[in-house]
Amino acid sequence: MNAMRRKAPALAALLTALALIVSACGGSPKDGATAGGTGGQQGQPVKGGTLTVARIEDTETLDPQRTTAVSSNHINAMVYDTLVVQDYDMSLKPHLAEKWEISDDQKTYTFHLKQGVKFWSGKDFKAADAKYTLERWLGLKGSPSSYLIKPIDKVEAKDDYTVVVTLKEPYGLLLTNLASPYASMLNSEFTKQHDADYGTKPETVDGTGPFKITQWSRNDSLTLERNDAYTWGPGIVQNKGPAYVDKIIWKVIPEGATRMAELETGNAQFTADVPAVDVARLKSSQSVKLVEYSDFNTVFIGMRTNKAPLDDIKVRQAIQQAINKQEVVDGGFYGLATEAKSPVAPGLPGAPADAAQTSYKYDPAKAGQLLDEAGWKMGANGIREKDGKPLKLELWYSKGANIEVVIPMLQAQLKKVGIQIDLKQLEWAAYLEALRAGKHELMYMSIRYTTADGVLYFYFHSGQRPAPNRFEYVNKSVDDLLDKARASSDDKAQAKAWEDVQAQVMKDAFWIPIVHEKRVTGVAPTLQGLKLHPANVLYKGLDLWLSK
Amino acid sequence: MNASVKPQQADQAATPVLKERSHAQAVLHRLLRNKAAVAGGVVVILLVLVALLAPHLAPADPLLQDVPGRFKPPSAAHWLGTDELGRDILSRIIVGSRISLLSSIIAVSISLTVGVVVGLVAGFYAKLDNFLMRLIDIMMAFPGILLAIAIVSALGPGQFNVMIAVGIQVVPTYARITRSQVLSLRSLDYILAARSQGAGDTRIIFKHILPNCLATIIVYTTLNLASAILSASTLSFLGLGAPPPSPEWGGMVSTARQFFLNYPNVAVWPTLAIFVTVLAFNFLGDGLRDALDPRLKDV
Amino acid sequence: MSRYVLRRLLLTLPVFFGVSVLVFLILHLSPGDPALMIAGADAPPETIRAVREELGLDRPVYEQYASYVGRVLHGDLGRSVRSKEPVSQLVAATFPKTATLAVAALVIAVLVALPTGIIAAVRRNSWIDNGTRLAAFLGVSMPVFAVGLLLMWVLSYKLRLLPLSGYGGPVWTIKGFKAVILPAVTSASFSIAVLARLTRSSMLDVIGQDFIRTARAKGLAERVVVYKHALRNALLPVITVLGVQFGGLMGGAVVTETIFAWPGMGRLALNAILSRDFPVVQGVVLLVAVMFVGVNLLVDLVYGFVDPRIQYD
Repeated sequence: MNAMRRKAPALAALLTALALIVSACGGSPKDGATAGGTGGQQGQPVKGGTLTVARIEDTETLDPQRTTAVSSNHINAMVYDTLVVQDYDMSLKPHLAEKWEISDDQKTYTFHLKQGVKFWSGKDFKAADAKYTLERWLGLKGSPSSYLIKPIDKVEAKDDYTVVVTLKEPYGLLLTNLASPYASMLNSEFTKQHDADYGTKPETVDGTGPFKITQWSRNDSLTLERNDAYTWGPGIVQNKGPAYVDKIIWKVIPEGATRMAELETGNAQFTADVPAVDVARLKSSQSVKLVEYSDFNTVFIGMRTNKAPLDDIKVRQAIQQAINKQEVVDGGFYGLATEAKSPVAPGLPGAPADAAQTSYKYDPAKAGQLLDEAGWKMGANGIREKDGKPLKLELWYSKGANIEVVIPMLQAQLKKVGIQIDLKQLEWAAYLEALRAGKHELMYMSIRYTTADGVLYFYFHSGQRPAPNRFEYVNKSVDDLLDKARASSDDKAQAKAWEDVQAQVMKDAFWIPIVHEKRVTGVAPTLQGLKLHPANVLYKGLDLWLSK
Repeated sequence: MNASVKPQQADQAATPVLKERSHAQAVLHRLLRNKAAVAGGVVVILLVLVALLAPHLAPADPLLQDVPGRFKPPSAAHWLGTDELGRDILSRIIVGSRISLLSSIIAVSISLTVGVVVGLVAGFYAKLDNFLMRLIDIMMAFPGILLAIAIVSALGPGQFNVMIAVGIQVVPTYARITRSQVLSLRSLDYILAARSQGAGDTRIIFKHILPNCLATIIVYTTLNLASAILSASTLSFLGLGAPPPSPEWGGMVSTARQFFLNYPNVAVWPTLAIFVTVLAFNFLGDGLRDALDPRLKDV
Repeated sequence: MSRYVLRRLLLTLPVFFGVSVLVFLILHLSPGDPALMIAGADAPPETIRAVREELGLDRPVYEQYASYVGRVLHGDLGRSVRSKEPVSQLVAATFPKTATLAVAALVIAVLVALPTGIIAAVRRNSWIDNGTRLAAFLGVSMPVFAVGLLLMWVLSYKLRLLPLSGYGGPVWTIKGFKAVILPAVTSASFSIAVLARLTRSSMLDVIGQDFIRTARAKGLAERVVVYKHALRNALLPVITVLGVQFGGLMGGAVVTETIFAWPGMGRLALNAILSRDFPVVQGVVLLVAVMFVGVNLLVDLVYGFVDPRIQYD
């Protein structure tokens, strides 16, 4: 019955790891001092000024329950608040729920709400709003995220400031999911009143967040203005409110070169989307600082295990060992990535302590030997053959950072061991559908996640077929471990189960973790108080201020 | 993209039928006097030769990667430098000329065939005219680039699908040009005369009308080869072109523009290749028009 | 003639019908499921099913089309499947920006192309003439993205004279005016080249005709001959092409809008196509179709005035 019970043991290790993650990149002296890190401030914060943020794409909707797009999450984090927040180390901390209790059978969660929290419209935030928010989310047809709280049986408002959530079965991820931007607290009356129009324009949005949305010109810019009444910032930020900057303007600039030019010429002060290829040049720039941070992501190749020749584990193992991940890191990602050894990136609970043990090393000779054993003999044209059939595989892919370099590179690497890769690039929409239909042999993709469950259960549970388990991977012991981890309330046992899943997955060799990407943001020298959140980059924006 | 077309069909229709050898000689003579057209023609011939002999001309394998040696400026080893995977840019442009030229030829053939047939039929058979022209209107009412995007999006990215999209985009232009030619010829005396002598529709179309449209169609085709290359490169620019590692020019620019502020060299060469090719076709097409329609010279 | 116009107007109805069927077919035949796009790459099957149901995508295509037409006839273009915003609202927000860009581009094109074309024709074979012709050739041969990136690189990035990207507000504000210059010039570059060439050849055409010779023979001043008699006649085909160019610009300068992050209809449509946001694509295409049909009708009528040999029976 302890609010902070979960995740606590892993905390110490995490803090150390993450202290390193959020740090200035490149190591040129002027980078290190100010940006990143917790204490990255020069002098006293001053109020005022307009912060312009350049980004690739626009927010889709300001209705947090109707989108999972990162571009929407960034705005929603500033416009709304959630009951629970994820700290910079991904541990859970209270926010609009000051504290909570969990029943012994793990099925009842009682949240005690903070008092004095107001929507912009002036209305007090009360239990009825929380109840409405969760019920709407749960029942909203067409919500891409409502499955995240599906185990909820009912939500009751015990009094104005107490909410009781009852689950159908124990669900270890409830709090984590209530900390996601999709769980932003809505104004019950206001939202009902605007119904389908909710979140489609500034006038139809009401939140309790530190910024109000005042203008939104689609595909162009979105303006947030400081909410002067805001004083209830979460414990994880220094400034509890109101925010320092007057305004934050989010400008949409799809072209990478244009976006970086805006930053270099001082028209924008921040972008979370710095193309890797620009990093080397910008390192020597006076007008832009580069600040690196890590979210949790994995770039991978998945194999369709029920299709010949990929049904042969030797072929899969050969492909694993034919991939030179270091070359992909250095060449494909311009050094802005780390070699991935396991599905879950280091730093999250459930990431293997010694991933090298289960991962495959680059060894083209061994790969060739395995293929020989599998009956694929080297043909005259450098492509292996078996029974007169060449070893040809289709690699399907759509979009992703640096694909124009990475994909031909992977193709060339596999060619070296005698595998001919035919590339099949599809538009994102067509790609998703084709994968769901199982048309691929090899697929290339990347995933971002905030829990190990977000990769492991998603991809490897047999109940997740045809997608996201696009590999036709069925393994009873893996299913059991994943189910166990979900229901588990013991962090150690949970992490162990996740580690075991990964050991098995790596053994079955159908999923190649290639790299974990590093994220690089571009920051103007005037922007102070920057601390990047792994899930939401600028997060609430409360600590940000602009020096002259 | 098809806007380089000059709507002067009606004027040119008045040109007498080009039959006699002396006339062809006169056309050739006028063409050769036009320096720009000759220059354009020479470049076009050179490009075709390069495309035909590409594998022999390319100094290196256009797909050979050398990642440590990437983004190198022009040097003796790599005359135009290397790209993002350390591939030889010159070799890629040479081999890419095949893809770019061939795809624009195929795209234009599609629009030419469909467009001219529709235009002939519409212009000649008044009953079908309205129906066909409304179909053409429907196609034209679709903004060209959006139609192409929608088609590529429906068919999936890939060079051949790009050709279809680019080709379909220009069908209405051909149809309208041909139709208006036919319309202005249909009631001319010699057609009426041929008809009164009992010539059938097919004979009139192929013997009398088509030859008279030919000059215009040749001119537009030359010019359209230019705009097809531009259209294809535009689709590539929007990320809907041939997938890598194929060295298609538009795709090369599309990839290289991401490095534009860092390594302008990679973007400049394929852009120049597109530019020079399109310019050459435009010079040639314009020269052909002047040569086939000498009235302007008589002023 | 008025009967012809009336008939043509009636005949536009099938065009709209055809356009709407065509866009519906292309979208529904395209691989890619809007429900998947909304639910995300990794959503579980039941979520996708729920989204598909909510969008009505589980019904047969003809049923979806029928209900779509029914709604359109009542003035309801539907809502974006992604943002839930009414399509009419989305189109209303982006249309003025596209129109701003198109009109600005057209104004630039006319201001540059007409004078140069006329002077080139009057001073035939002078250096102005040769320069104009060469410039026109270069203009139609440059890919639009190359023009845009080059202008931006020189004027905005290196010299920092003009804003790099974005919509700066209405053109009558200084910020808005400065912001529209580069995208407009980029969009106009092609039209300038086409119009200058056309103006020149059209002027030459007219100058050679009998009535001009007569005017000259009557001893009228050269200026009067050129600007009063010749220009008026030469402008007709130019206006015709101007209409076509304007229609094309209104259809969305997708590339220009992408490079300069201009929030117009072209980008709206491109994004909607790529994300399978069917109602938005349909809405934009229908609106563009209305404008195209209008321009086409006008062009056809002008053809009739220019060349009486074309008969409308």
